[in-house]
Amino acid sequence: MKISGKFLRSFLAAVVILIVGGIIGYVSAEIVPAFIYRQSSIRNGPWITNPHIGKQAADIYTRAVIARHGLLALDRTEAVYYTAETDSEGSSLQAGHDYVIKGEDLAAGWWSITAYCDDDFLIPNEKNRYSYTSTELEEGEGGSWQIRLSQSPKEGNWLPTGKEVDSFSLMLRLYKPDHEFYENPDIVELPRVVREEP
Amino acid sequence: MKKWITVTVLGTVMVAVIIHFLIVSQTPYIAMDKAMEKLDTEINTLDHSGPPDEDFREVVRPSPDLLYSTCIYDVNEEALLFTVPVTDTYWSISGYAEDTHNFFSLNHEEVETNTARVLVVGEKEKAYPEVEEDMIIVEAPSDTGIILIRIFVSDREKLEELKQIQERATVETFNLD
Repeated sequence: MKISGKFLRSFLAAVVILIVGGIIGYVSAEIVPAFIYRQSSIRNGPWITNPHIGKQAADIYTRAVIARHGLLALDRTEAVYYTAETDSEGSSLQAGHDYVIKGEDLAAGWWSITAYCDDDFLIPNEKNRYSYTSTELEEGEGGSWQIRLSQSPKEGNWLPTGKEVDSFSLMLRLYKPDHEFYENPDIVELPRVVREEP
Repeated sequence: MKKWITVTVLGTVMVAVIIHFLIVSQTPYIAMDKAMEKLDTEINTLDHSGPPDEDFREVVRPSPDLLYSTCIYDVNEEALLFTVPVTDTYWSISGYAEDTHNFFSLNHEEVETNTARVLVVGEKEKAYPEVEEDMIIVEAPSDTGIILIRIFVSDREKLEELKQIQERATVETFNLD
């Protein structure tokens, strides 16, 4: 059977179209949602939140990112979620460094700060301590508080960053938040994340 | 030759666009299906779990300060009645459609009774007979999804007490005819 040159060219073109198009489509579907999500998110210091979390009106990119990294999140009037992947200076959070989260009481029914591995699950540690909540923090004068993030034990509110982790992220959850947190999430006062010098 | 190159480039772009939107638009549904698969509970039953720890792998970014009761619902044929004791500490019941959006939530401050009775009905149930006065009716935008009950463990010493309350929550099918 003789295969004509025209048929061969058509076949090769179809293969190129499907393979190259498929790869570009797949890779862009991984990269573009994260980019668009960041553009539609609101930044406040190291903290990032997105007003469309939990909403049906969210665009397909925002919904895709939330499905991957924050499935089963509540609507913002019930809970506001802020994530931090950097300290207040903008450097990524590394488990090899120590940090202090400093803040005042936050206007919500209750709130918590949790540390997560890169895979979005809780950081393994001997103390089995993964978070601090507003009801269990040791507070200083005037309601101010500090949480120390470190691999090694610290006095006071110590949140272990684990010995098997390179980088990590934080999540601040506010349940039944004051309306300021979802109406003005960019200017409301949030805790600072400060890297400690060795 | 020029024509071949043009056709190949345009074809590649078209395939890339189709694949891109297909993956992005289907991601929430796939994530929801995966979560349901990992939760590994029977449809229309409640699964109670303690505060998540480092071994928890069912859903990303779990809160280690909450008790979770999960129900993978299917209200295609029958409505579901959730009877859930309300705690003094933060408590909420919320629903997630198959496209992941949070279509309802109700917390302990919004329920006036000690026990919440929440009736979840499907898309087809546009008219239902009078139900008991204390029932809260929720219309699910998709026939399948997840109902999630959260209880805040405000004090670790109260964990066992809260777990006992959590386990009193029930779900049953409810005939609307």
